[in-house]
Amino acid sequence: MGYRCVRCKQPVEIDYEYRGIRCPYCGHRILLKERPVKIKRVCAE
Amino acid sequence: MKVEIIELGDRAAKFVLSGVAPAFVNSIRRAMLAEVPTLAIDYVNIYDNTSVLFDEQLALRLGLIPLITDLDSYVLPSECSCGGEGCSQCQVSLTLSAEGPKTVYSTELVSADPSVMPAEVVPLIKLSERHRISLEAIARLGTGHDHAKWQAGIACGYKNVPKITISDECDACGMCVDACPRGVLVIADDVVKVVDERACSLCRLCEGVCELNKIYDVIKVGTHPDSFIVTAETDGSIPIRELITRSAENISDRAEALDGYLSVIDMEMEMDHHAT
Amino acid sequence: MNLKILNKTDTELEMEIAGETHTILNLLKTVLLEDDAVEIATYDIKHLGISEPIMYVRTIDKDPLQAVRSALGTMIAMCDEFKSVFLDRASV
Repeated sequence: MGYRCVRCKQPVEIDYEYRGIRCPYCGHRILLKERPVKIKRVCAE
Repeated sequence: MKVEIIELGDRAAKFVLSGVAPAFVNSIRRAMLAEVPTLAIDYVNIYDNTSVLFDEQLALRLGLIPLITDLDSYVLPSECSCGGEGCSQCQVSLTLSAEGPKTVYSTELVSADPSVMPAEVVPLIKLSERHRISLEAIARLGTGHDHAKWQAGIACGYKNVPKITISDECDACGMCVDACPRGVLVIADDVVKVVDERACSLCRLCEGVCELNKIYDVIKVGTHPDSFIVTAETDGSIPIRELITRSAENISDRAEALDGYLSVIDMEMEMDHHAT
Repeated sequence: MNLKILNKTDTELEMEIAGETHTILNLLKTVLLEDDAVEIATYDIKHLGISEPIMYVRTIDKDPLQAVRSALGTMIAMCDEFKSVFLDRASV
């Protein structure tokens, strides 16, 4: 699952060993989940 | 059976149908609303969506766009030779890709079949800077019975043809003329006259305000029981004439199918009868 | 559409017409009742959306199956008449 740091805009992999969520490059704690690069089928109703 | 056309346009019609049972008019109305098939976007393959709307919301908006439908060139997925998997006989693909800042309209959909296109200019989504949508929408035939997006007929209804009778006891006080919200009655030469009987909504306010009505039946609002004013409108996917004729065809097709089943049972019973 | 005969005697017919709605059945019922040989013609959809309609016809001295079939014929004729009369008026 890909995330992106809100502050430094770097793609981030989450380290599940660490007891929190933090950007390894800048230390920011807010990460956004990226939209996966695949086709999503949605029912129109 | 008699038909008298009051209005007939591309999308809306109003006519008087007389000499039929109420059940027949109601069947026609129900068939127009729920049984005549039309094309609508059924599912959407979303490649990219960085807009403010969720994929589901965007898909719903796409689904509700009326699409111009040629009913002779498409079949329902359930009746298609491909078995509902999807082929050029039963589905059309429309693509849409847009980048902000702008408002995206339904007319920006690019159809694989040029005869299938949005019937109306509908604003879909407002995109800002760096917002992008890119998707493929699959349109299929369906009926209003399953989802309102497949409803070809909108605002279909009927009422009995009104019959207003004014007796000689009327003193032309003008109370009924003032009470009528539709302007059906006028006073001319000291008598109350009916000018536009069909505009009457059968509200019977005129009966209530008439003082003389307490003693005699001076003004009476009734109906012709076997005559109906039918109003029908389409969403633009098919012309109104086609909607009306197809609704009648739909009823007779269903009746024929039922008769087909019954004829088989009839034959089986006859054979059983001969065997015993 | 799927038809299931639940009960059939010389004067009675009870059938389940799966996949049909009031659109056809109310008209069929009305047309059936205009036939003098038909004593009872009615249908019921027990629960909206989940149950199939059951039609019941009782006749006097007539095969109920034939009564239903002639009523269906009348319905088809009505639709054809409506279509031709409407198109005739609409083309003026």
